[in-house]
Amino acid sequence: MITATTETAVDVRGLRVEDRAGRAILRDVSFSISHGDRLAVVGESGAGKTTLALGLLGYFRPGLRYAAGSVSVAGHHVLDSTPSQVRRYRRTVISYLGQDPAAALTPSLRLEYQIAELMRGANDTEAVRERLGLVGLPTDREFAGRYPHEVSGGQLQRVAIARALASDPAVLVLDEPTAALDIMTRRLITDEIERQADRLGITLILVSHDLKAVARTANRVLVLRDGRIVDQGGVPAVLADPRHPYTSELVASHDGRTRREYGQGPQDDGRSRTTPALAVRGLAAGFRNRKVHHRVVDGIDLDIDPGECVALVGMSGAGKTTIARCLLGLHEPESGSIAVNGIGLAPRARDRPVALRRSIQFVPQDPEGSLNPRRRVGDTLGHTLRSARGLDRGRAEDEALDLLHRVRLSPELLPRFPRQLSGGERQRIAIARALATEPSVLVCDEVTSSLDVSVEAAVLDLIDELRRDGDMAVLLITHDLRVVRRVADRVLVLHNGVVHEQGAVVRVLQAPERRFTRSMLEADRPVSEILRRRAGRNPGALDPAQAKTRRAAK
Amino acid sequence: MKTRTRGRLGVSHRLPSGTRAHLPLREAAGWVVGAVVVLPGMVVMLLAVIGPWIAPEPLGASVATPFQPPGEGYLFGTDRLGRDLWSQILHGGRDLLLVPLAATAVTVAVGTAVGVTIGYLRGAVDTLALAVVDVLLVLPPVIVMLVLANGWGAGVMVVVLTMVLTGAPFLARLARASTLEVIRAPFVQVSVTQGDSTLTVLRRDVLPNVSGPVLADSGMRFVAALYLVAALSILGFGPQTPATNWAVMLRENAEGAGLNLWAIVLPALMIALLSISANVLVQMAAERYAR
Repeated sequence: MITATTETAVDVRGLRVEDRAGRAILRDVSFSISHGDRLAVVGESGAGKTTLALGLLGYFRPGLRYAAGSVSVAGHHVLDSTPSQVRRYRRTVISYLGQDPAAALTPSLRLEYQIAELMRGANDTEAVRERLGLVGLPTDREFAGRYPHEVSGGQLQRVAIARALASDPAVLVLDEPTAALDIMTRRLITDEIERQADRLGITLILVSHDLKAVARTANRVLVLRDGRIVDQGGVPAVLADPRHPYTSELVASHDGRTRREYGQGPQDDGRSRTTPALAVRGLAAGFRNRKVHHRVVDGIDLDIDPGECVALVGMSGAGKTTIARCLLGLHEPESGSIAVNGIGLAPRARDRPVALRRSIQFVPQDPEGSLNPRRRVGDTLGHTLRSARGLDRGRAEDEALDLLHRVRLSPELLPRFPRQLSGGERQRIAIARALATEPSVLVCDEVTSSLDVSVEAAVLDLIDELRRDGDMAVLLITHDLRVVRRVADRVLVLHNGVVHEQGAVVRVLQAPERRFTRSMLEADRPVSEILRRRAGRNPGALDPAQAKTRRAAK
Repeated sequence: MKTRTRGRLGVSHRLPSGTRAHLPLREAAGWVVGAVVVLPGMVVMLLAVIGPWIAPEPLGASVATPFQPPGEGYLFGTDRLGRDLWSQILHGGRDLLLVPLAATAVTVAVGTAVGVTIGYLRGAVDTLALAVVDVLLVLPPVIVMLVLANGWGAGVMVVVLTMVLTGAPFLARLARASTLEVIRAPFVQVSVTQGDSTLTVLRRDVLPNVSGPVLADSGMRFVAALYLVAALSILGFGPQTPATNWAVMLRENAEGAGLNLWAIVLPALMIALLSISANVLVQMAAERYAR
């Protein structure tokens, strides 16, 4: 169907990338898209998405090398070029926006300079400010002269977009630029990128594990698994009617079709009889920055019964993590009380008796930092078992094996270092470490936000099962409603530091009473619904000729 | 936390046009460094340790006329007092290897302990200790050493003390900075919530994760200590005849350079090789560890 004419924006033929050991990261990847297309590359982590995206820029991470194939972008044969040609190509033809757009900016240079340095042609202050205006940022001199730390996170994202577009690229590669954001902000940023691509006739390559973003934005999709293309084609076709079983599995887990039945958790009427595992009253906390005081959360009341799972949702910056840190004694609240099983806890962890400290445990957000990189798995678990439970070496080893069994991991992982584990495995070890102290309350801070959907489902099911078996109270912090639907009994919606709405998951997610909750649900439609809505409007991509004229006009 | 930042343009390892010939060259550079620096360096270290046992002539024995050139039975000729130069070299290495090694070990231990502790505790302790560290940072090592040597006489203790006073502040700063980064990681907070004491957290969580940069820096500390010992000897505070080391030999034999050039070239070469190779070795170890 597609021939290699000038209409072809990206043409990849038989690309094979290997690591030093000769293991293939990408095998025989071939695809081709026209100018103005929006191609989504989806797949689980380790599928080779990022390797492919960076390969389009002629870059391979240290330790990887390309073994065969060709990459041609807008007529440039990337892999046969000299280093200086490749640098010129990256500066003029293609642009890359990475997973953390803020990291693309140098902290010590003014915003205007960082955009001007990449612009071709006129790059005077006027032109730079115009660029800022195009992505919806203030155009005054004061703003352009700011440093990255002087603007908000959302503005930083926009600056990163302006910077990626500064060279007027023909192709823009987006490597999950919104993965770490909450759904609301994610929508804003994606809309912005789409608008710019539309205006300038840019071809988009969108790397993502979020099928919702794909369904909303892309017109073509390519499904990668173990470095191989298992499925590709037009977006509505592939996602609405997946031919490959792997694709349908991805779509299914995204739509939460596997969600459990509501109402299995303890019912409201039974609550008053038992002492809540966790009782929080009037919690208020904030930060003091120089003389200015920022109140982050205020007046939080929260009860969790043994065996109950409560989800705390809200946008980033709503104060979710601050609440968790207060509960754990890592951040001193200004007022309020925290009690576990009816026993009051001191505000700071170091003032709490060791036995009480152990009664409330947490699983951190980021699988990279949740385990000590210098300790083997067995050592990490063994230490907790010995120090917190007073077991001797032999008993601790038995118990560690038992913990691994409970989190569904093989005993072979015990002698491994965290870097030898996948993200999902690391997160399960972090859960096992928390369980080692036999806590009454488990606080999970965005435990699945960096995991793939199928791994996410497994981890959530594990948490669900553990709290049922162990009568453990779980506080689940998340910005993802899919997570809430899957495991939580009740949900607390946090907005600007106060509880905006709360109640049983069924009630809040099906009949939200407050405005913010509704807009959150709005942003979280299932894939099929997004596709249905999409059918009504312009299906995303530009046609090649149109893209060309718009690019020429620039 | 990763210390390796080896940037490489991973474009291609094939050479279609010959313009990337520098890439294989760069890979070869690793081997060149290995063959020219590390291998002789390891030989020098080995000789420094076992030298006194394999030396053909005993320490301080005059065997021929002063500053006799190489040949005539003596590999590198003789020195100022007609002693066999090669034997003196073999006898004079231990001092220069072991004293700096001891000084480095103590310096690294003290500096890391201080840095990790103040980095973890923060607060007033940190501010106060940092002020002291900053004052110590500006002290010139040789002057400090001469002052100490004036009071207590030149000896191993003075070298070690000087190194601790002037070298440990660098390590303390480095270890503190790394600690500040490490303690932000969630696994440290988990340890705290699991009831680990401060000492346990420092030992299990912080120390192993700051040891990469610390190890990398300790190579530089060894070289600094080596130069201190050499400076002490060249200034005349070092071992007195018949005891010797390579730096003492440099000073004593300077006058005869015209007669037997080896008398100063050989000790200088040995000191240079020792310091370069010690540094490269520690770097390699650090890189391996930081992986």
